[in-house]
Amino acid sequence: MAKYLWTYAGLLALTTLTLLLSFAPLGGWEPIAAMSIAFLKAVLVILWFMHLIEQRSTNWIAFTVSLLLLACLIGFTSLDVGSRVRLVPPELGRSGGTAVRAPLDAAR
Amino acid sequence: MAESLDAASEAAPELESHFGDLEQQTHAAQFGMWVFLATEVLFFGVLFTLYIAYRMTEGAAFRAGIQRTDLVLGTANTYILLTASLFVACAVGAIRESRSRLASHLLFGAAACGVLFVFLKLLEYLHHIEDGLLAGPYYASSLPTAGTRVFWSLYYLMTGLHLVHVSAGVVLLLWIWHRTRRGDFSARYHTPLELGGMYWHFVDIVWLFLWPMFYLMH
Repeated sequence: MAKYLWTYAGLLALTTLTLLLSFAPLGGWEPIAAMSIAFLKAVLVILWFMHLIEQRSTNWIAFTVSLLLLACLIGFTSLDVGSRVRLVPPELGRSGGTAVRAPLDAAR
Repeated sequence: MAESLDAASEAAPELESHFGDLEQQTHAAQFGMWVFLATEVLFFGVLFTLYIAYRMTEGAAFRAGIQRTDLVLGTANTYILLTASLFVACAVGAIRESRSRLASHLLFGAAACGVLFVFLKLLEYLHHIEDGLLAGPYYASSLPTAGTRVFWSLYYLMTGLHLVHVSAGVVLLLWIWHRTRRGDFSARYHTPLELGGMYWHFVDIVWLFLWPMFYLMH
C-alpha cells in the first residue's frame, strides 16, 4: 500500500507544480512544461497504479507501440501544419502579399 | 485428458477450459486489456492531434478560450480523479492481501469520486451555457472568430468524450464493487477488479492531459 501512497504524493506534487507554473511568465515554454509534467504523471500512473512495472514485456510492447504511433501522428502533423504557408493577396493581406501563416479568420 | 481438465476447473472455478492454468489466463486478460487501452490511446490521440494542429495556427484564440474555462472546477476535478485512482490502486493492493471488505469500501469511494467529477463537469457546462457558449449555432454571436469557435468545439468534444468514459467507469466500478462485496474475488483470483482498475486509471491519464490543455496553457 505504501507504494500507492508515494505515487499519489508524487502525483499531487506534480499537479500543484503544474498549477503554479501556469501563473509563471514562461511564454512559449508553458505548453511544453505543462505537457511534459502531464507525461511524467501518466508514466507514474501506468507503472505503479496500473502495475505495468511488474508485468511481462508483451504488455509493455502492446502499450508503447500505441504511444509510438501517436507520436508519429502528432509529430508529422505538426511538421506539416508548422511548415504550411497561406498566400494572401495584396488587397487582403496586411503584410502586402507576402506569404504568411495566417489564422482561419485572415482567409475571410 | 478430459478428466484432468475437469479436475482443474473444479480446483479453480474461474478457469476457462482453453487455458492451462489461472496464471496463463490472467496474463492473457491483462494483455487483452493493454491492447484495448492502446486502441483507446489512438481514439483520443486523433483529437489531441487536432488540438495541437489548431493550437499552432490559432494560438491567440485558444489562449483567450482558456481564460474563459473554470480553473477552480477543472483543478478540483483533477485532484478528485487522482484520489479516485489512489482508491482503486489501494483496492487492488487490499484484495491481493485478501482484505476484500477494505477493497469494497475503497471501490465505493472511487465510484463516489467519479460521480462528483461528473456532477462538477455538468455544473461547468451549465455555466458555459449561461455565458452563451453552448455549442453549434448558439455560440455564433458570442464568439465572433472562427478560431474561438474551433476551441470551444474541441473543448466540448474532448471533455464530453472523456465524460462519457468517466460515466462508463463509474458503472464499471459499481459492478466490481458489487462483486467484491459478494465475495467473488480473492487474493488468488481478482482479474476483473484489476482490469476495471486499469480502465479507470486510463481515464484518469486522459484528464491529466486535458486539464492543462483546456484550463492552464494560457
